[in-house]
Amino acid sequence: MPSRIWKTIPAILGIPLLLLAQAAVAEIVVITNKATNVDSLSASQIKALFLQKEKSFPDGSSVALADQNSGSAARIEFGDKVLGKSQKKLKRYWSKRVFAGKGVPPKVVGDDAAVKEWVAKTPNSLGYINAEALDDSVKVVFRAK
Amino acid sequence: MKVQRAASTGLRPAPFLYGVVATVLFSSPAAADNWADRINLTGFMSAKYQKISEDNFFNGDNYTGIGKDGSFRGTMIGLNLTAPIDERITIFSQFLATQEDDSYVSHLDWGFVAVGLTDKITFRAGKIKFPIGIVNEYVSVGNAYPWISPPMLFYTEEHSGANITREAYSGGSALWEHSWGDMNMSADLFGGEITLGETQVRNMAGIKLHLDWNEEITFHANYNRGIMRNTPMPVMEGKDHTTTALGMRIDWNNIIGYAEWAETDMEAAIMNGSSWYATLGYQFGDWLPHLTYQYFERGTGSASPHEQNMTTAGLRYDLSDAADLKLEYSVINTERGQGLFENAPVDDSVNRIGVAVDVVF
Repeated sequence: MPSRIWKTIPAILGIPLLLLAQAAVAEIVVITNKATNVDSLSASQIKALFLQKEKSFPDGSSVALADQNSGSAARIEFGDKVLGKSQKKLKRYWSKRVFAGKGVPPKVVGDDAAVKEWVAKTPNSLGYINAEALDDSVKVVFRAK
Repeated sequence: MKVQRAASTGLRPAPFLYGVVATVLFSSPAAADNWADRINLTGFMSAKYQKISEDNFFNGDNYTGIGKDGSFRGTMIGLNLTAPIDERITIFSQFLATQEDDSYVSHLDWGFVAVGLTDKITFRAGKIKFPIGIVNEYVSVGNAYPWISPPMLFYTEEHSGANITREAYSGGSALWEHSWGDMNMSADLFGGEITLGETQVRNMAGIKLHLDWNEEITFHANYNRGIMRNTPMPVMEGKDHTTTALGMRIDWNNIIGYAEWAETDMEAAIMNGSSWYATLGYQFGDWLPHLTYQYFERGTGSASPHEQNMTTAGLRYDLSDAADLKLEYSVINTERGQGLFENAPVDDSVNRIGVAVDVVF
């Protein structure tokens, strides 16, 4: 009986911890306009586009980028998982580009809903949202788990 | 210096700024309708307080240099305006106001039109930031680097220094940028003319090569050459001005490192010089302690040599992703001549302290 208790307590404690952990690592989906001639992109292709090292989709069409609000959980998650940079390093990356006249950062469109709406109506657009906010108004080209 | 910078635009600064902004914003009805979507407006500010231990001025004169009384000279605010005209053509510009003595002097820091010939090649024309050195293209943006000011014995624009860097040149540039996975490379072929003080460098041409791996380790190489005109020293008139520079930067995990070397040849032993520096730091959360050693010599093969070194211990604290607080303490040793002091220092060793706040917005 005591041994069963010792096995049960961690299991009970573990359920909320597991739920918390799942909430903290929400899935980010990278989305594009449904008319865009791209069905999937790799993480390195998305990184190159969002850091503006590449300016066009693989088919040659110019890309229009949408960023989320500064400090949002989605933006931090996207930076860490897909761009491989902390927000601090991203800020310095863009300072070096912008104040040298070599580019401008992606347009800040807003939260999940605003980015989804903007991507749905903007040709050749690329943005990212939490997977829970996804619907069929946009096309998913990458999932970052 | 004030006269020189005001003259560099040829116009009174404030009306000039308003005129450019108005032209960009309202140049066409379409632009006026959706200008907020089309214009990217960003800026930066660095507030600095610095003083030295001797009754002298360092890295400037009695209007601009760091003095014994301490001052906020060098405090600056910049405004960066980017206006895409269409998919291929963009106007980039930056206006800068710097505190010199008790007033602020504003001017067009740089401004040019960029035409994307292909996705990889951009042609630029106008007033373009001089690309020599790792940080010179964003030399005024304190938040982008660890120091209060980039190593002064290398990046000084004082004519008494190593004469390596310049503010900006007027001319054109063909910039090629390419990425291969995490490896990024670029080559910038540039040419035009530059002015510093009373000296002009005409028919200037140069190349800057850049290679980095995921911005974690970066290598730079620069070479430029031009002909000096209107020099205050007649012996320099028509001589070649050649600068060669090599550099590397590390931003890997928590390790921050910089090292650069450069040499300037003006075909006159009294003016030829070289400079180098190395910085090493380690990021502990929001804190970055760092050490820098810098050295410069000029005219060491002549009767009027200058030789100086500077060791700096610094600390940067990140107040946020876009703001920081910096503290620095330096020891400046002058081996020969006066180096970057306005007058030959009385003491072989002079101390400097500095505190700064940097913000980008």
